[in-house]
Amino acid sequence: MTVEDKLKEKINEIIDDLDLLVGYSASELPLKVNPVFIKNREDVKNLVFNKLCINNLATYIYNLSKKIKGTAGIVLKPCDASSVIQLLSEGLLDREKTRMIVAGCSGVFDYKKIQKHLGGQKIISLELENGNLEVGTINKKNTLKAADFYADKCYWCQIYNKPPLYDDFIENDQEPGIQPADKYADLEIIESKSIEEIMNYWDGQFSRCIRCYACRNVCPLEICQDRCITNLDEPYWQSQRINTQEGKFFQMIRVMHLAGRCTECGECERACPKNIPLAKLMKKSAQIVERLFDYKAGQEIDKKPPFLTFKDVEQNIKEENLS
Amino acid sequence: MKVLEFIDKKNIDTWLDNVSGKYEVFLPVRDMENAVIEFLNYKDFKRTGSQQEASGKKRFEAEYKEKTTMSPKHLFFPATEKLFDFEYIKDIKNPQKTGLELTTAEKEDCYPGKVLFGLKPCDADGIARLDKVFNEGYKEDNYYHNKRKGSILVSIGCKEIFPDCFCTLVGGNPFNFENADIGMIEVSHGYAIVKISENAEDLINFSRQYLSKDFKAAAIEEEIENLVNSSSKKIIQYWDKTSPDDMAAVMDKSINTGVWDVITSKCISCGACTYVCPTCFCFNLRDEQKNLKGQRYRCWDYCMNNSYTLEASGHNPRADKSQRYKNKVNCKYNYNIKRNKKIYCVGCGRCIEICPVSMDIREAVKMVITDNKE
Amino acid sequence: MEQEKINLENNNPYLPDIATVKKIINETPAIISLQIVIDDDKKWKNFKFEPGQVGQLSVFGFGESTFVINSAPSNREYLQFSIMKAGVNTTALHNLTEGEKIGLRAPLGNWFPYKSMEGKKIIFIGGGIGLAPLRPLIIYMLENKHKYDKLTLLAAAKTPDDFCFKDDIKAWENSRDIEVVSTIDTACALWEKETGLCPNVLESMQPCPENTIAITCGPPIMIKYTLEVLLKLGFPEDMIYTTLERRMKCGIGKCGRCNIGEKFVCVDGPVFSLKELNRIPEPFI
Repeated sequence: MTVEDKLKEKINEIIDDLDLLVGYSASELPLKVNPVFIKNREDVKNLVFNKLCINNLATYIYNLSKKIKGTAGIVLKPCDASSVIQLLSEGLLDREKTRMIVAGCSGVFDYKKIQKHLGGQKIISLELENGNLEVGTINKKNTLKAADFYADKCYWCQIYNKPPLYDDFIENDQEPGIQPADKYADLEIIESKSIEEIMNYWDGQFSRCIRCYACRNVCPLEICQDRCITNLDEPYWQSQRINTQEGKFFQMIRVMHLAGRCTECGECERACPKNIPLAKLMKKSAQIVERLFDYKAGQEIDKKPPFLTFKDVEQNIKEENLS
Repeated sequence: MKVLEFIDKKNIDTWLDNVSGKYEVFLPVRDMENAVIEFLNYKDFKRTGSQQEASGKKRFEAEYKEKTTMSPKHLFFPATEKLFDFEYIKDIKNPQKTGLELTTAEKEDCYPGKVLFGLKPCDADGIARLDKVFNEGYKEDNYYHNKRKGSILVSIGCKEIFPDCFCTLVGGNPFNFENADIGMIEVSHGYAIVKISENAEDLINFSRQYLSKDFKAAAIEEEIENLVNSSSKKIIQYWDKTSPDDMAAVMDKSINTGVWDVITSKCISCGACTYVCPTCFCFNLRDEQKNLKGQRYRCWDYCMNNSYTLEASGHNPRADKSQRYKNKVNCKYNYNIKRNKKIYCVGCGRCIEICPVSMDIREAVKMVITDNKE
Repeated sequence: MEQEKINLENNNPYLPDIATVKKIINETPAIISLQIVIDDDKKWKNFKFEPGQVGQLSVFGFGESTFVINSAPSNREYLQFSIMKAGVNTTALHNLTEGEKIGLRAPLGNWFPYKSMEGKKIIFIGGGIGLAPLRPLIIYMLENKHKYDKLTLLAAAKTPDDFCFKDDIKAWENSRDIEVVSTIDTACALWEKETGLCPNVLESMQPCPENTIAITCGPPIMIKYTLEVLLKLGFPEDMIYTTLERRMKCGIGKCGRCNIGEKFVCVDGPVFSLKELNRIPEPFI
């Protein structure tokens, strides 16, 4: 029995207790799955759970919990569960109203990575065969080694079959078979450059920013969307101009805002229509927070997030000598 | 389609090179490293091209088959645009008296005009729809008009159909050159030119030396006919062809039903779909001031934004995302049909491709149509 | 509707004319009226507008907002706008002093079809600052009273302090040409006129719908219930007019945000008959 079948079986058992369930269904487009909201038993058969389920459905849980009276069920990968845990630890979600249905994961494919590998060609079809990806582009079939095209986060994931917290867990017999990789290798490459080079790199990236806020709106932890400073006339803190500088400025605010909260699901980078590597920024801020406060977001429900509390003396922060 | 002129594939580059000496040429360029395709000024493309050759690493190439990530609308309707400068003038001798000066920098900047080479037929359809909004109606928008004036749209027919293409469902087709000035179709060894509007005659005369004189029109025309027949068939038929008026009537019936809540449940209310759309034209006006000087500018705005219709009093006629998405789809498939007689969607599929949560406007329209039948 | 396009003199529709604030009147604690004059003599001499049309007022550096021109069309001395403090730009407008410069783009939008109202009885129903759009029309009709049958005004406000145009109301109360009924939401000391919400008072007045046009403006919730009462009283849809507001930016039907269905409030409105509004499937309140 595949994990998908087991998941459906489980959901069939519990669907009557739920007001609504958020899950994945198949999409007509290659490489994509649909987030789907179901209420009825007859819709359970349309659910899917496979290696294309890259979306983090925790994105929906905060708004959903405000809307419905009863319990919301949510299908999560173990890494997605971290986002829900973080929301819970910040007191933004009601544990009683959230049913975490966590399915064991064997890695998800990142279509942008495939696309970048193919020089940005548009992908028309995709099949998985004997550990290879058969990717169709215009007039061409490309055979790629599947193991190279998992989402970045899959290469350093340690929780694929042991979620930190769950209500229902569906075991996945399939081993991911992913060679673990150094999480910070790409950061090290950037950081080895001079400040000017680093700035040039990011200016180049943010010159593409169109300020659509897909990064903000897709983030499961950014619950402030409608009250975001970018939407306000008062205070008028950020210009609405669409250019490199404002895009960068907005992103800096976003990164600071999510420091110590971001669970590094990578949704912001995936959502970006202009392929700006936002996950690098998030990874850096998480790295700093871990070093300074010995805190990793989304791991423990009872641990206070560092910016929701304070200590008289922070052990890893040396105060400047004022004398 | 009748072949009027013919240009050999190997002549395209030298031709563009030459044309860019007289006109401002834009062409779709793929950034292979970042997997985006954008319209670039030919001169910038050439410059980066020679830099690339020097470094031995090719990163940019012209791309005429795939769609650009953004629609070409920003060439006429930039994402941010200054409308005018203002300056308060203080009189030191008479502090009670303040003056105010406004200056516009708007000039007719486009001799002899832009050439947009390698548009898709749907891109040209999009520009024609923007023309209606900005150039007609209550008042002409001089900022748009000054950029658009004299530009030449060169469309290349679509041999390739992608899973998110649906131009035939909204009144277009992969070889529709109605809104282009020059229509080109790629055939075995070159491009057949099948449409030349009055606007484009100067450009064609200027390009005479790059066009081939001996081509076998009859054989090419047969090849084109086969292409035209096979291309349209690849488009998925989400709904039966309807006239714009019928579409508006269908939409009207579903405006106050619950179908919109179902359609929008997964939408995250971001602006990606509106910003890549070739026909979305909404913008915001804002002032920025430093000391005594400042400027008013306009920038793209998106209707899925909560504060888009939020009034200063706190009243918001479209506070819920389902109302906003309903307005967005109706704007394209209903309101603009009533205002401008056209479906304000050209079926390019960009919004479908970039949506992070797989919203599909075809699905939405289809659900409304089925909702109507029930 | 009697509509014809009025062209602004300059051909850049986004460029405001510079105007000077001549006088500021405190109407209520939250509302002021600005009387302004366009600086360019020629433009000011040729400036014409119809009752119900709007203007965009800019305080440069803060932004631009839409207000109804509420001085009389026959008034050649100044243009008057009434502004309630709500957002950034309205606050900036409140902070102006006499003699300061502002920007004006006007006239924009449509107007009340006062010609087709000739020979009819008119009932005006204005709540709070909603009286402002009605004011130029009331004054016009009083100036041309021989063309119109009976005029009635129902003016409503939260408290006695919240009435705009108190002097006008007093003058109209003493006029034989118009009947004025004033009401406040809840009873308070020293108030001897009507008490009760505007729609309820309207219902108790029992105006006869025969040959009568009702024109209403006010906060959205008041408009909603007033329209219900008018329909209940038997007013036909095409005899009821209202003027609406939406968040507006460009004022010339380009920027897209003030739509109700296929209509843009800035160019197809702000004046609508209920018949027109009911033809739009999207709810307008």
